[in-house]
Amino acid sequence: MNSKNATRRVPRSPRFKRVFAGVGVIAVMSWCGMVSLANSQDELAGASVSDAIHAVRSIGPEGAGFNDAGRAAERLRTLPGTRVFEVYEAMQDAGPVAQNWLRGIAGDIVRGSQPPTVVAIESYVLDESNSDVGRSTAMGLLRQLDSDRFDELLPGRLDDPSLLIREMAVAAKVKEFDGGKDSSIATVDEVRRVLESARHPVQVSNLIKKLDSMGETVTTADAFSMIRQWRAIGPFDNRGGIGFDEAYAPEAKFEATGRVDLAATYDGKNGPVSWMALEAKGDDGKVDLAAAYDKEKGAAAYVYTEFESAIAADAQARLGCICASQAWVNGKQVMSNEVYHSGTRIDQYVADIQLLSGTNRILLKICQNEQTQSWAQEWEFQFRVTDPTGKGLQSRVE
Amino acid sequence: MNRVIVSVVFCTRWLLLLLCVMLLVSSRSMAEPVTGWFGFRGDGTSVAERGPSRLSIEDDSNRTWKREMPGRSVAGPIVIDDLVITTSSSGPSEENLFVTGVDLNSGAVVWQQQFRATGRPFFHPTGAGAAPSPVTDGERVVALFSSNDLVCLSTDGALKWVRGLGRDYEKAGNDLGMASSPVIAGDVVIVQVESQGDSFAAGIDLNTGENRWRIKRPPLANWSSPAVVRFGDGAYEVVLQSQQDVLALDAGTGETRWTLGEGRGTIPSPTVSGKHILLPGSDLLVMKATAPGETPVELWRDGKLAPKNPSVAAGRDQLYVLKGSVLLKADLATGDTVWKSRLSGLGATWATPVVAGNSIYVFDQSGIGLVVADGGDSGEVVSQVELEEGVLGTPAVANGRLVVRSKTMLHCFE
Repeated sequence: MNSKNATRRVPRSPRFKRVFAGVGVIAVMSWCGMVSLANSQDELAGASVSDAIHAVRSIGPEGAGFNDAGRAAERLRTLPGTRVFEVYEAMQDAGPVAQNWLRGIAGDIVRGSQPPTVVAIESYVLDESNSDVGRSTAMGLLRQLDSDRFDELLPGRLDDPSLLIREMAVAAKVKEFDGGKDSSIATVDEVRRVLESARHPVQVSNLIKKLDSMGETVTTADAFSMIRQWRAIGPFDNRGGIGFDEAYAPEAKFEATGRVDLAATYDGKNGPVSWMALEAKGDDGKVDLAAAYDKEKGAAAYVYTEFESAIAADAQARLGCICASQAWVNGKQVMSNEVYHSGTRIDQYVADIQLLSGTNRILLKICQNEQTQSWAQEWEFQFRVTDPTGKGLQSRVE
Repeated sequence: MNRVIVSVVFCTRWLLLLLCVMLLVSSRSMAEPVTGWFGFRGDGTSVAERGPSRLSIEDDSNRTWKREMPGRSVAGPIVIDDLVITTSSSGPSEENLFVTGVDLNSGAVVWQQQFRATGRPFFHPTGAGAAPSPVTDGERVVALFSSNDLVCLSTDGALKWVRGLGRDYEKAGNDLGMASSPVIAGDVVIVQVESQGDSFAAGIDLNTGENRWRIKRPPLANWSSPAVVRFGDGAYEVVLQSQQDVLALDAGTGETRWTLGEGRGTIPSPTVSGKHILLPGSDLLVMKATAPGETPVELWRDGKLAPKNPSVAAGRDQLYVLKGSVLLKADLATGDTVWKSRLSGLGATWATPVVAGNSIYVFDQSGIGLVVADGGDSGEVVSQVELEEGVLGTPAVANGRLVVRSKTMLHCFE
């Protein structure tokens, strides 16, 4: 070795070695996540829990606000399990997509921490002043942690203000009626009681079928309060689908005045047309336009009815229709769906409406296209008015 | 000065040591590639290296586990290393949506997330709310439901983001159900949401959940899934087919790369195997991609090889088509039929056949599963199983195991 170029090795001070070794250990431990220096700083210096919740609730369409919400989600998921109720409460009046964000965050909290006790969850659920959606999500957690206690609570929740909890309670009863435990002692009154509570159309339909199997006939039309009496006018031209966007005379008048002229005659597809009485004949409450108009294809028809309400109230218009359809209430369009022969079901389309005290005027346009397949020949609909929970309302008959 | 130099050298050595330690304990993704079955038909071909040679749930059962799921599903499972991901739906109209992570070895549920449908939840009785198969890039899982709810989670189940596509585009939805499975190309997840209402395809940023692009599509029902063409330089094209046309887009920008003005099927999906693009319709049209942005060249088409519901499995220069209860093998380059096998007892099928080694797995909607051995110039059923319930989702093959999702259960065969 050339002594001139060799580096003279200077003994390192013991104190220096100890300090640097210590720093090294801490750095490795931090990186491994055992001491989350960075996260702690972020948590301490970052937004509060309420700010984080606000960021999640504030998301908009097409991913708007997702960056902030994503960061907020990362903060919120570090909360202890005992604080998951704050996330449940945040679901109140949040948009449906934001509610899903909160569901996911709540799931992360519970998975990453000691979950709340069953007693705490039950207390939260049974307090009906808490968020409806939050309570139903908490019920899901209860089922996961203590399915026996979940089963014990459900029978008492048939009239729960949370429609999701009510749905769970009705589902449990339906399962019981269909062959679960104690099915042999189900009585007609018990089934009718559950029917009174049910709001989901599929559950109502299943309960009707159960009653029918017990010899108690309740028609779909009655159980759902389908509107059966209408006045109809048509056919108007819908060849090539042109009728969907065309405001024919009844529609134009209704939009302009909120009324129809039941004595009027208009130019239809095949000549003059005027209003006629049309009734849903079957137990299902379906109004058959194909039968009324001799299976005309490429045609549109309007149907009109009046709904008497004792009070002004929030309500819903609910339509099941296999053809393209539009609906107006008191002159205002509330639904428009240009979809043909792609399935149908009760309450397929739902719109929030405002009922006036007194007479409410409802106009529907139902369009049939020109498809020739055997499954594309139906031209019919079912319609009802409900309260915001889905309970069918009856027009007050004078 | 010397003391300073020595101190710097000393510190540097310690820092290097620290760096080595960090690298050694770093995420396994740096050292070990993530393996599995990452989406509908795995890598899009429905072909894997190896799988079980038989299927049995009798005394000689090779079903290592089965696990009841929280709802129904017609979606296929996916696998990331030792984690199986499956989707389910429950409730009167199946508005309760679940994404579940299950341990591949034991069948134990590792995590589960639950959401509520925000779009139209309706579907045909043969369908389910959980219809599209999920997809992953190995780090994130994206699940799409028939209600057009799109969920992104980490592989640990942690929420990344959620979109309600049926809320963003309120006329999107088909009351017979939506079933197109999403695909991932780079850092974009592509969805094909086609129906009579709002009809579109979109590229959504995998990191943020925001739209990178969105294009209108024909307002017609369509259940086929997109397929990704990968070019060597990291470029991706995504191929969409409908009853009106075939469209290839730049996966990152949504710009049109090429189009084919002829309609194809709306139930089976295109398959991409290497540079071969198989487009099922009234016939099977096979094209070969040349370069990004260039229209592929038509190689051949054959009406005898048009599948009914399942898509085509293609790999190793071969393709397999299920037409009702007849399984055909053909040469990918020429379309020449190599063999045809009538699968006696097989009912209606929706799940795409899956190929692993010389075994082809076929399941029908009643739950009958067959293993067909490809002997080169013939195909012969060598094993049959009847599961407790029907199978509509395409199975997954990973780590030598076959994972099958029946309506309410997940099964693993080894």
